[in-house]
Amino acid sequence: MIELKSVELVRPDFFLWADFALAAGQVCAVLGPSGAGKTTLLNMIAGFEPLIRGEIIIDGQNVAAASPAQRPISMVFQDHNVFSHLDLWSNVALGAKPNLKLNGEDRARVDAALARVGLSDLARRKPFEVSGGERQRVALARVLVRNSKILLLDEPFAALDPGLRHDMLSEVSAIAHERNLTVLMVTHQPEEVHHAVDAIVFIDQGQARAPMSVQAFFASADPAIVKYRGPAAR
Amino acid sequence: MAKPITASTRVAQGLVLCAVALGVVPLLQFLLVQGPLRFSDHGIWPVVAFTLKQAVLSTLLSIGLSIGVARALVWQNFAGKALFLRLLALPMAMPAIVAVLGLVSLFGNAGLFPGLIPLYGFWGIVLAHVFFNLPMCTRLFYQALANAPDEGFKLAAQLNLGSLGTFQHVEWPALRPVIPRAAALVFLLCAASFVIALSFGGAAATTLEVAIYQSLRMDFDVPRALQLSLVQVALSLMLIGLVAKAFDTDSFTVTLRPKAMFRPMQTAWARRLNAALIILAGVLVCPVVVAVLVSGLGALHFTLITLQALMTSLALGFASALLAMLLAWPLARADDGLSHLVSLAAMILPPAVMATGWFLLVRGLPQPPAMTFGFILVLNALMALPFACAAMAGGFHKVTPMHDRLAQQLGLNGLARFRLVEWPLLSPHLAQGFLMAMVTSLGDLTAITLFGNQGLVTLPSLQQAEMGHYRGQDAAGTAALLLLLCGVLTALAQHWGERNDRT
Repeated sequence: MIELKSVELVRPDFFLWADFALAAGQVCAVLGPSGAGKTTLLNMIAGFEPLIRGEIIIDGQNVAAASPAQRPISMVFQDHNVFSHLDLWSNVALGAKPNLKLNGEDRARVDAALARVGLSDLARRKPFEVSGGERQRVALARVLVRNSKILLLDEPFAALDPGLRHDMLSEVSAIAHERNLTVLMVTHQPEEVHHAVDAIVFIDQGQARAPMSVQAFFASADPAIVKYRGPAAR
Repeated sequence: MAKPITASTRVAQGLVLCAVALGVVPLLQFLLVQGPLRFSDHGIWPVVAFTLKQAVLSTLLSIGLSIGVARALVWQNFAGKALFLRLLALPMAMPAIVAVLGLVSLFGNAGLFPGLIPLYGFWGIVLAHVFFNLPMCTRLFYQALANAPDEGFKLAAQLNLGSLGTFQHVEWPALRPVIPRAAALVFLLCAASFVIALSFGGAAATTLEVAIYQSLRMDFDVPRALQLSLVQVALSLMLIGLVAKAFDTDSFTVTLRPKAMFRPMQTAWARRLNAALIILAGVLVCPVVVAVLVSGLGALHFTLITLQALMTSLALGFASALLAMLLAWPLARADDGLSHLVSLAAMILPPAVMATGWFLLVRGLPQPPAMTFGFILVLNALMALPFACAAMAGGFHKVTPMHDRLAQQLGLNGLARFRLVEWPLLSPHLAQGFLMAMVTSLGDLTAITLFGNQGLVTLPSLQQAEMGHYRGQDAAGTAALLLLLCGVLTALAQHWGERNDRT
């Protein structure tokens, strides 16, 4: 479970405030207009952006002052999730031991994670020898190896075609429920996340609204949400 | 998409190759008349060995230290970082003869710290080369590291890779493609070192370029100059052949600005090491600049000879830069292998070698001042060509992919395309290239030393003469004037470079 207690980030030209909680195993989409602060919210939770005030509680521990490595969090970015000079296996193995000195148990975990995302046959290939979707699967496999409690996805499937995006979202949803992972996922395609998410956090004008159900989001008469959804959804 | 080679490109290629041929053919003709050269003669190998030794050490020190300094600058934020990054461009603007005076006024016998560093001989030459090349490489590596995706650093922090792991998995892959071309450029510049080696060298510390000059102008030993020239060309060709694909001179057009980047937390020791490296770079660059300005600003003088030298320098600089840009535009636009090679003509065939051929060509003929002026102008333009081409190539690389298809679809060709598409987008690059070419020509001492005479004096040759006659105050004033001139032009070039980045 993750709880954001009045977290606040202030930059000269930007402000973000959030106060909400998500249960373990819950998959949540983060939506909002461009520049609203969706990626910043994820960066803040992951420890890449310093807070001005507030607490980030994960399983009872306040991690607001912890370094990114000390937080039980994995973040998957839109791109550059793999080191291009390492093969897929080593990229996943970095999640087990940063120095790549792995014991038998670690190796088994890496193999199992690669098998779980369907990449066992490609394990020794370099990232440039596989497709964009397969590279993002590598990042998911590393999340499995790291055994994090929170998974943050910053539009990692945006560049994939709709069919593949659907498959990847289903896979994330399945992994989240299998591992009891809390997932926060930034996306620009709200209509595509119906089947994969349990809740939506909407960010507008520097404020993250409380999580709402998918149905509540699409039925909302809030002018900001109506404007964001656009004419097709009205 | 392969671009068609236009007539203007062919003309530019032809003109440069013609200038090269006029330098090479007389040498080959001389070779035929003289019979085969015997390289065991004339003590050539000690000169080759010294040239290679100082170039290798200068390259290793410049590259090694600049990786550390660039990394420190990327990781460390401090007040005045933007100013410091701009300061790093100063040695590139500083004519070699001005830097020589700065180093002498610091570490020379009558300097502020006499004997602190052995200025004359091997170590003096290496130090001066590091002074020039460390900032250039630092700028290049800084840009490579700053352009490395932030996600890599975030991933490294998340996976707890530590400093070594972050360097191995994130920074090294970003630096690796840049290192060979930086090293090749530094090695070539050091191997072809003239002013530095002429000033700090001696009988046992002579580079090929200086030895060619001495053979031609002091000893009138043409066969020896020829042998040295051939060795120099072979060396340059070998190196450019080795790193042909990676070789370019973009480092001279790099513009740097601090930008917001995510960098993981560092240990106190890492922060101390970064601070030490930044201070080291500052200590290497700043005192020389300050020494020239402090000793020179009070001694600024505008005698008739100074004004004449100033006017000659400006006229030569302007004309050379104009010629360099006229050649650079079609060469950079073509972006093909031959144009790239042609743009590097003065690096493959060093100026002293080309000048040897030209010297043989006109030997015995009357040499009116206009001819001398023309030789210096062309040589300066060829020396500035790699940097002018680099500035223009940056523009064409941006403009071509952005507008080529649209222009073709709309039928925008010829003058209309130039007026409506190329000129508005490329003029900042043109301005940057022109100013950089002018700075290169203004500070040049090689061409004027090889061809100059008493009737043709530029600011660098005037300063050299003043230093040679122990008129330290006058030399300091001339150096300060030259530095101010080059500094202003470089600042303007940087301004245009930053505009280029925004478009």
